[in-house]
Formats: sequence, structure tokens, C-alpha cells
Amino acid sequence: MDALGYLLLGFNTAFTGTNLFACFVGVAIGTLIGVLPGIGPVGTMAILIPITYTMDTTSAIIMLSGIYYGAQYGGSTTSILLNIPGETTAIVSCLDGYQMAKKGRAGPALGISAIGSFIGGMLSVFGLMLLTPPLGKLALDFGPPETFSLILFGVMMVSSIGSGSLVKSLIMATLGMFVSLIGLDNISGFSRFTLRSLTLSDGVGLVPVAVGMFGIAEVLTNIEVMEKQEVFKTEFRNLFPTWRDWNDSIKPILRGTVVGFFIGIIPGGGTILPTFFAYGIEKRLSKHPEKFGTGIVEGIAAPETANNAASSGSMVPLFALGVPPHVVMAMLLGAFMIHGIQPGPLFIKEHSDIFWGVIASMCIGNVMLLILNLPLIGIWVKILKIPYPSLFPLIILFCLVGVFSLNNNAYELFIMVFFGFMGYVLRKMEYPAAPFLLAMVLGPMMETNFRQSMVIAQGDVAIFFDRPISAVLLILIFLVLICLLVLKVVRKRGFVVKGAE
Amino acid sequence: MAIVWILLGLTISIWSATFPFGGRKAPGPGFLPLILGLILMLLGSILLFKAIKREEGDPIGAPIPFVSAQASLTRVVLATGGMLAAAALLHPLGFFSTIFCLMFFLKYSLQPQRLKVAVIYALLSALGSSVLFRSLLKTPLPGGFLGF
Repeated sequence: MDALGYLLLGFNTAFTGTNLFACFVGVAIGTLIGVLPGIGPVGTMAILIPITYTMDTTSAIIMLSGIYYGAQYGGSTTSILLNIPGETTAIVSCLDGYQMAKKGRAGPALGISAIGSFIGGMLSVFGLMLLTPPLGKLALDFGPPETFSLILFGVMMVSSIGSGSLVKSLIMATLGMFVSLIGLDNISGFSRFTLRSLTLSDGVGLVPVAVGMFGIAEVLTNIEVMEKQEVFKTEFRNLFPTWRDWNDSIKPILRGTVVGFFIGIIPGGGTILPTFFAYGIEKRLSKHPEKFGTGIVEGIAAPETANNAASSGSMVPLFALGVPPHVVMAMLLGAFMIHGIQPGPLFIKEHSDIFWGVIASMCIGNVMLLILNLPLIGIWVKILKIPYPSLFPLIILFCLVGVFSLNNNAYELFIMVFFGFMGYVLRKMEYPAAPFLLAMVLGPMMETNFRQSMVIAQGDVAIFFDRPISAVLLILIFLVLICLLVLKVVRKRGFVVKGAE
Repeated sequence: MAIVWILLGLTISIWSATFPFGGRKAPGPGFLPLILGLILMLLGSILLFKAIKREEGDPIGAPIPFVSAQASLTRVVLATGGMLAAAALLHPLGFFSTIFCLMFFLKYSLQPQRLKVAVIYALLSALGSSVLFRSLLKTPLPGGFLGF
């Protein structure tokens, strides 16, 4: 069967009543959490994973993916109207979006944001469709050494790329990997760090930890200061951009798609980095760079397109290699594994219905999102007015039910609260949670592949350098670390010189 | 915090040493945890070194205050305590009663609120979640001694 035939099969799968409903629920929840500052896609996906237990795997993945790319649409609404990003991926959109709203152009800003997201989302789905199968075929040659190096590369990239301290990120990744080792050893069945607890013998569950670190920790941070937010008062009669807006934003949208999709593929690239790249590129290419930040349409078109394109791009390594490039994809991998499916080189061959069904659902989901975010924008703005004090007890309620319903085990609630409080404390001390969760998901895979590699090589660690793909990945890790070190020294010297002046 | 990481790394390393270590040809279940413990100790030491250097007058990376001026740590402690209590009471008290108590506690104690409003909010939350999860989504939830 050719790609077109598979795509038709995908649409056949996605167009069933259940899957259409799952897609709608996913994108609607995604938009909702994107609009509401204080809960992100990771926490939401973690809470909803137990609910997907009773669902068919395709419907579950369609819904969870919908939450992810739906959140990219919703995130810009608060950036434009409140100057507060609903999601971290919409930080850049505050710069010009809020300025446009102040000038009375909130409608076109929201409009171009939704249209850019739609174009970026749709085009990148085609990229995902074209790139994943050949990459999956290439990955068929991967043995344990290559897989180990790839996972190490992914964890290192997520830990390295970010504004915070590299040491703190690496501590979080090490801790995450340690937590993943609690329970019975995958190979020998030996019990590790269980304190003779039956709950811990099964290992520390991904859902309680993710809900704790991304749901509860977020709530605890937000309830410290519960301030009333003022929503920008504006009319939404004219959401459609003018002809001039179109003219100014079509090239940024196309460039944002390319930038977003390809950075999204890189482990650690995520959906935040592409928005900064896209904005930077537009500013550099612009004939009037001084106008960026004053409320111009290009400043919102490029980053909003890029984050949506990146959300599809980041699915490429997950589907083709089985390695999530960032924490949201790690949650999706967790969902796959809970449903007994391992994404990776054989995934497309063995589960073509799921792969193509999800791709087709993303096309449908993007159309749904366009409708949800253009004609129905008023609903989301009204939701924005719900005060946080009325909202946070409900978020806690959903967290509790989500975690408990997983295994009907109240001990997992204690685990959730423990990781929630720990996440809160670590967040206050600027320790990022993403490397922790990614390492936790990938830890067992990494250990198994490492031990298998050592058995194959009879204890010779040179196996990781003898194999070309593995060697290239390890060299890349080394280069990234060297670059970061050099950058740090340069920055420090610059600071000292400035201070001396 | 650096000392916490060093101590945790040390604990993990010592604990891992009690597991079968295997050899290079076939690493056992104690191999990776031991490595991780050592890495944690190393990273903790780097942080400690940086902290000492900062105290000696390095202008970069001044320590940040744990809780901002207007912030209320009390709310955080109360919310955490409420969740722990809910986890402990879920089985004996049942889902509906536990959620009612938790919602009332969160709404009433964490923010200035009229008693009536808090009770109605808690009742609606408990009722709504029971209908949604128990009746619609068929999630098995504990009934407690009251049976609901």
C-alpha cells in the first residue's frame, strides 16, 4: 500500500464516531488548558491517562495528542488578552500580541494566531507523514548500543537546552532515572529500593509522579499568590485579519512552519525553542526590525505557527524511534506503554492503523481547533474570567481521582502528594521538572539497552564508539556540552568585563 | 541543597552496594543505581563548590528568596495537608464524603469565604464528580462505611 492508501486508511479510522468524539474532547480540553494559566498538557495528560484505560488505544492516543496540539492553540489567547502566556510556548506571543490588543486589534491578533496555527499544524502533519516511515525503517538497524546512545542523547539534550543551570537539570535527570529503577529489576527480577512495600514493588508509577510534579506542584505555586487577573476588554467582531495583515504574515507563517517542524524533531527542541527561533528569524529578515514588540502581526504569526508545527515535528522521533524528544511526548509514550504498545521502528508496520489514524485525526483536529478558536473565541474568553480560587480545588479533585482510578490504590495518592510537594520545592529552587520525568520514562529502557550492549560486547565499552550511529550521537553529546561550557565562560567573562567598566 | 544531593547520592550508592553488582560482561541490578549514586554525589559536589564560590563574592547567581513577600506558605502547607488527609480518609470515609470535606476545606480555609458558599461549592463538586466519574465514566471509587 502506498502513502495515499495508508492515509485513506487513517481517515477511515479517524472518521468513526468514537474517534471523532475522542478527537473533539482532546482538542477542546487542550484549548481549555491552553487558555487557563496554571495547568499544562503534561499534568492534564497524566490525569486523563487512567480514563483512557477503558478506551480503544487509537481513540486514547487521538485524544491525548489532541490535548497536546490543542494547548498550543489556546496558549496564545491569554498572551494576547492578559499578557500572561497560557502555556510556556506562547511566551513570545505576549510581545506583539498584547501590544496589538492594546491598540484595539485583539481580534486580528487572535485571528492570525489561529490561522497561523492551523496552517502550521496542517503542513507539519504532512511532514510527519512523510518523514516518520523512512526514519522508522532506518531505525530498524538500531541495536542496543544505538538505542542506549539515542536515549542518552535525548536526556542530555533536554537537560542541556534550557535557560536554567545545567548541573541542576542533570541532577533532576539522575533523580528521575533513580526513581525509575525502584521496583523489580527488568532482567533479573531483583527487588530494588522497595522498602518491602507492595506498592513500590510494582515501581513508582508514571501517572502519580507526573500529576504530582506537573499538576499539584503547579497548583501549590499558584496558590501562594492568588491575584485577580484583569482580562483585556475588547470586541471580537472582526477576527479576520485585513488584506495587509495577510500579506505581512504569510511568509512568516511558512517560515515558522519549517523552523517549528525541524526544531521540534530535535530532542530537547520542544515547542518553546522554535517560537524564539521563528521570532528571531523574522526580526532579522524584517525591513523594520525596530517595530517588533510594538504590536505587529508578523510578531505573532511566526511564533504561533512555529509552536504548532513543532508539536507535530516532535512526534517524529517518538513514532519512528520510540524516543520522546521532550516531556509531553514522554507522557504520550507512557500512555502507549500503558496500552501495551511500544512506539519505535516496528510501530508503523505493526500498528499502521494507529499511526495513520492519529495522523488523519490531527488533520481533523486542526479543523476543529480553527472553529473552536475563531467563531467560538468568546467562550474561552469567558472561561478566562473564572477566578483561580474557584478553579484550583477542582484541579486538585481531578488529580486525586485521576491517580486513584489508575490502580484503586490510595498509596499512590501519597506518592502524588509527595512528588507534588517535592516538585513545588524544587521549582522554587529553579530545578526543572522536565528532565526528571523524561529520564523516569526512559530509565528502564536505557538500563536494559546498556546491560544488553555490555553482554553483546563481553564487557567492552568500546562497542558504543565502534558502531557509527552510536558514536555520532555520543560525539554530539560531547560537542553540546563543550559548547555550553564555552558559552558559559564567554558570558561570565562578558559579565566581569561589564562589571569592571 | 547541594549537601542533600551528596547525602542522597551516598545513600543510593551504599544501598546499591547491597544488590548483586554483576561484572562488566553482565552488569547486575546494582550496577546502574551505583553509577547514578556516584553521579549524584559528583553533581552535588559541583553545586556545593559553586555555592561556596558564590559566598566568596562571585556576583553571578545570587540566591533567590524561597517565598516571595506577598506569598503565603501557609496556603501551601494547608493544601498539602488537606490532600494527605484526603488520601488517608478515602477508603474509610468513601469518595463522596472525602471530596466534600476536601473541597470545603480548600475553599473555606485557603481564602476568605462565606460558610454557605463554601458548603454549596463543596456539595456541588462532590455531587458533580460522583456523577461524572462513578456514573458516567464507571470509575470504581470507594464507598466507605456510609456506602457512597
